[in-house]
Amino acid sequence: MAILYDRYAKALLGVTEKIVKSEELAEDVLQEAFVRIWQNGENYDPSKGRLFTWMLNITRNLALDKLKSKHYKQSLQNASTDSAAEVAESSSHLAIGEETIGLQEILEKLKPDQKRLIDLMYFQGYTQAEISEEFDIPLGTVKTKVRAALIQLRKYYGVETVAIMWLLIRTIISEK
Amino acid sequence: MDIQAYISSGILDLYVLAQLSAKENQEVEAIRAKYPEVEKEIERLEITLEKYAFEHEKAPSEELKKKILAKIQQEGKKQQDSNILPLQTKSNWIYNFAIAASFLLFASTIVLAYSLWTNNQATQTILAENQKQLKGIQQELVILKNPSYRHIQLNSTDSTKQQSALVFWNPKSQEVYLQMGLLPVLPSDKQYQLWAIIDGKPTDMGVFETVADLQKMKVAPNPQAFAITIEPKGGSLSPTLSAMVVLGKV
Repeated sequence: MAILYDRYAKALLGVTEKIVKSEELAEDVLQEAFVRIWQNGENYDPSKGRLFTWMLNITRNLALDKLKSKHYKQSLQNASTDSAAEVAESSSHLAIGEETIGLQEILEKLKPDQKRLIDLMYFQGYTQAEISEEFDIPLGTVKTKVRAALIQLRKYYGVETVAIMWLLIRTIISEK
Repeated sequence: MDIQAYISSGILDLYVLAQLSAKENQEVEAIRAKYPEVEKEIERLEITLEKYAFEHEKAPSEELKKKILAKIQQEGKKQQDSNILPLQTKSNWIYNFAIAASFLLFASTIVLAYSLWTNNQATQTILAENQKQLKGIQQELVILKNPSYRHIQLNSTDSTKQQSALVFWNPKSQEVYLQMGLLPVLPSDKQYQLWAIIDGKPTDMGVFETVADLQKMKVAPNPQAFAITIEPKGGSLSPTLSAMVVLGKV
């Protein structure tokens, strides 16, 4: 287990920090993640994917759970929307080839309503269900627009970039 | 079915990130088994995410590793204390694993027969590759969990550097497997070499690359310790002691 830690902890921590945006919280998540990874080792199915992907999903789900917890949501609401976007901005840089591009620049390529949706999901942490409720748009429409936005982005920036974006976005399937 | 459209729809991204429902997962799995391009795309996405994570890694605080290992030991003790005979659990797991492994091999054999029947050379090569990979990974898991293998931690000989590796040694079969931990990348004219100290003398266990996870090395009868040194590419007959990076006693 020490070996898995040596090899993968830094990579997992980097992604976790991008999601929860706090060093301390990220380390808490990482702790729980490693325990869970150790406990569920037998459930890893190598025919379904790489070991790192499996570990990443466990870690990412824990990070997203932490984000959903009431306490965090409240503190996010209390902060002004400006500073929330600033904090989000600092971790929103994606590496494409050798250049680093901010997510904002990427979103500029989209139509205004598509941009607004991705913005709500990424910077403000809304789920598709929350967007549908808050802005009174049918859930089906939200999902269709989001998918269309991503297909657009893939055309400009390629599969890899968009996969990474998905990685950093909060839950993208509506909760049941 | 339009494969390109399927691949651009983003559903595979969600699959890799485990964001689909159980039913949707099954659908993707049926499609990936049928279309090698989809299988390739899934692999590509996984490797992309892995590369991205490694490129943006963050170093944790020093105490975190200790905290985590301590917590895992705690959990381990809890499991033991809670009335389950460790022996039973282990053989249960191996039994289930054997069943899963044989189902997978069985399924692979059926698919292989089908593609031979349809006379498609490309499909055959891809399947063989996948099976080889699958076998390799299954071997890894078996060894990691197998109680007849002793785990020998190799620690850094230089206290200022974080270096480590792990050796699995089977006293009965004398097989040795090396698990990569943290070893810095070497220039192209050098290579790492594993040594077993037997009867006080270092014996060559083979050279290796830092890329793979678990590698089979030479056999070692009765080693007292294992060590890794940096040697010129291709290895040396005897170790360069000043270039030792990690060492562990059996």
